[in-house]
Amino acid sequence: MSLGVACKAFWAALFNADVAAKIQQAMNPDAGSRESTSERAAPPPAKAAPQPTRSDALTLLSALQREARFLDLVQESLDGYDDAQVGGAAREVLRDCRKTLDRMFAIQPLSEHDEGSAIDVESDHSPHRVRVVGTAGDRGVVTHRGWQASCCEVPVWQGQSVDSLVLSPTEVEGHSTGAAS
Amino acid sequence: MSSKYSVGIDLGTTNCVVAYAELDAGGPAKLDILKIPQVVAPHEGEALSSLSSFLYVPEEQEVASAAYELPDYPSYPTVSGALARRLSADRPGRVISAAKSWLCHAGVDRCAAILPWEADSDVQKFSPVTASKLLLRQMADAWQSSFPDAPLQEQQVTLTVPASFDITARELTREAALGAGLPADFILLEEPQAAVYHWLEKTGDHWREQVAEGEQLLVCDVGGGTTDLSLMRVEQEQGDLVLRRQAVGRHLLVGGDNMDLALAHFVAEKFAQQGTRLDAWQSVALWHSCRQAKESLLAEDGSQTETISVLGRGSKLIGGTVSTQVSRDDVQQLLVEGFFPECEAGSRPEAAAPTGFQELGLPFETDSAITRHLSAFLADNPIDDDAQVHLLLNGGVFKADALRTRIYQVVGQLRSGTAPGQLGDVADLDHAVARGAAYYGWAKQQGGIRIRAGTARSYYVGIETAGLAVPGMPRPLQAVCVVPFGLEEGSDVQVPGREVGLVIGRPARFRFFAAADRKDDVPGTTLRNWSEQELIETSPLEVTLENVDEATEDSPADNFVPVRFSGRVSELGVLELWCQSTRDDRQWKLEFTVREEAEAAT
Repeated sequence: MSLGVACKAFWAALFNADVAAKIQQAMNPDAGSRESTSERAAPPPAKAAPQPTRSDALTLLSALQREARFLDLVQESLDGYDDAQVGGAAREVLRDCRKTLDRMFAIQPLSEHDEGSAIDVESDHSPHRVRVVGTAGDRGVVTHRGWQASCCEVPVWQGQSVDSLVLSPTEVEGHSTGAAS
Repeated sequence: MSSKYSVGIDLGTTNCVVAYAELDAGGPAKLDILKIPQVVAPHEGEALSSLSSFLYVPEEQEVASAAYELPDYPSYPTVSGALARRLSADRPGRVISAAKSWLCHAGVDRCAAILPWEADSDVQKFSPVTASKLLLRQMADAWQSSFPDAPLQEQQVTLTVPASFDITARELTREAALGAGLPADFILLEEPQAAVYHWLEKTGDHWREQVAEGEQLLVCDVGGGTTDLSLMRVEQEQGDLVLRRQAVGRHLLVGGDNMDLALAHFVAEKFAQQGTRLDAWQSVALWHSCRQAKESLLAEDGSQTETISVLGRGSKLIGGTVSTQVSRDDVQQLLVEGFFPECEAGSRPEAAAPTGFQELGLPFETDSAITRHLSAFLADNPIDDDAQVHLLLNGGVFKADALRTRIYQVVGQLRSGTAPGQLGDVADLDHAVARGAAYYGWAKQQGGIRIRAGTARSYYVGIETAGLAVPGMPRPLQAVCVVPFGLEEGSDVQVPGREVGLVIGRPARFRFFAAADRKDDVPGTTLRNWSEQELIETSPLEVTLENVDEATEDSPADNFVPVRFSGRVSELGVLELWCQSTRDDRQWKLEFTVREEAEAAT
């Protein structure tokens, strides 16, 4: 996980968000009932609880960038870099991506049979679970075990809708006038 | 009150974990890890299986914009957990880290707002006690939100502390815990004991097949910032095996973080040789990469070399990434020889050369060789030559094969060639203490083996001897043993002999000492000379005899009461000292005076 993420810029980005938030609040003083996206969330009452205003997909992207710098990697052009250079960066990013995905989805192989082993193919198998390539029959060799998530625990985002498309804040190296901090 | 759950809380130097088990569920204990909701980014929360023990003090503007207030989450004056841990690198002046180590640092006022240490001037500060309380409260709230029908106040709660925590640090931990909403009857359990309970839980009834009467258990617990040593003995009681804790080591401020940092310095030097100078931001990223690389480089079947990369800053991730090759041999040399060098029986940590300048920060160990501390511990607590020793390792650093192999080897050398037995495995090292604590609470209710522990120190009250006053000379001080080593829970001792006259209505203050290695002293043993290493002075004790009793009001001329001391360890393991009147049955409790002492010092 990159330790240098975002944080230096919070206050700068948030300053704008703050202004935006105030406008938002003035226009929409109290949002309705909230929808709990976390099974654990059964917290102290008596707080304004706005509806989460963005898709979990955005929150997942944001988390992958924060913890693994996924967006930085896929957004960068590979032109001009040799494979070793790409590999060096990708190794770090992929390792951290896996850690994040494992935590949120606990990803496991779908089939318990190893690649290369012969298995029975049920005639009424679900096309979601088994995809037969080549000749259909009652036996087959596993070429890919498939994947499945064992859980789905994406962070809960509860910001203002004006910020909902922000995936990672602008980073600013802060300093006071004249002297660097 | 009947508890539904046993809850074990590991308040760690760098990570906190909560485990729990349902009581009366039938069958063996079934342990789970509690997910702790925490702020992971502005306006973003996630429930994670641990809470990083970092607390970020937000800026006023961040507070005003409610960036860290989530409608579903309770809010606190600081933000702790994953976000704070990340910010500890970017904004060290606003992040409290290692509050637990400060809790045990007698050189500072632990109730005064001193953290973040070296904070920027505009940053609100908190005391080590408050910081610990905030972490505990967040865990308590996490429990409440997961189990709204089972208030934490009504559960069997066990909180772990280092075995080497002195009595004041334990008292302060208790204060923080009660302030955070833990039940009044929660239990403080020593971390190495929790590690043993975790092993007992894992092995079930088979533990009796792995150890035998007369054998010893050496628990070596290396956390992020501290190392904790304990020695236990397998004994027989009425035909059944029991464990008795015999000794605990000194509080050692050296741990896994030191190893990561050492590796990072080493790799930074490699980069420098390549002509790459890392800036502050990259250095932090490097530290993080080294933490990851450490394990694979120390793995038994690891590769000969490993590439360590520091990602480019900004969105020029690939272009800005720098890499260097680190060889397995170099890392082994650095970490294994640096932190776990081979050493001979009797060798001791190297003392620091006096610098004449003592920084007030945390008193980190000057000798980072854990094995030399271990050697000194075994020299101070000798084991019979023919007794089999089993080694139980705890802490994330022992996921690295090379470190495990080395410490087994060194313990073998220290035991004149007899290899120690191996207990436990490496799985689940991160959660072992919390799980062990929850299992302890479960076993306490459901029946199961208990470790006989008792006090890990003997304690002494300092009394000035009467005699002619000599100008400029303090009166000679004697130390009277009031609590012997190994006093067990639920027992008390009367200190025979000496009576002390206490004046009514005026506070009386006593100096108070602890000794780790004076196991033969009995209550009343009086010491006239001692070395500073032998008797460690802790916070003083104070008592004020209020004139509430009618009997004394009848005789106002008689304004002092002769008392004797008594010591008591409650069922919950709390050590108390009392003054007992020798005339009647009145008694007064001696209180630790952490605050006054600190105020006087500042």
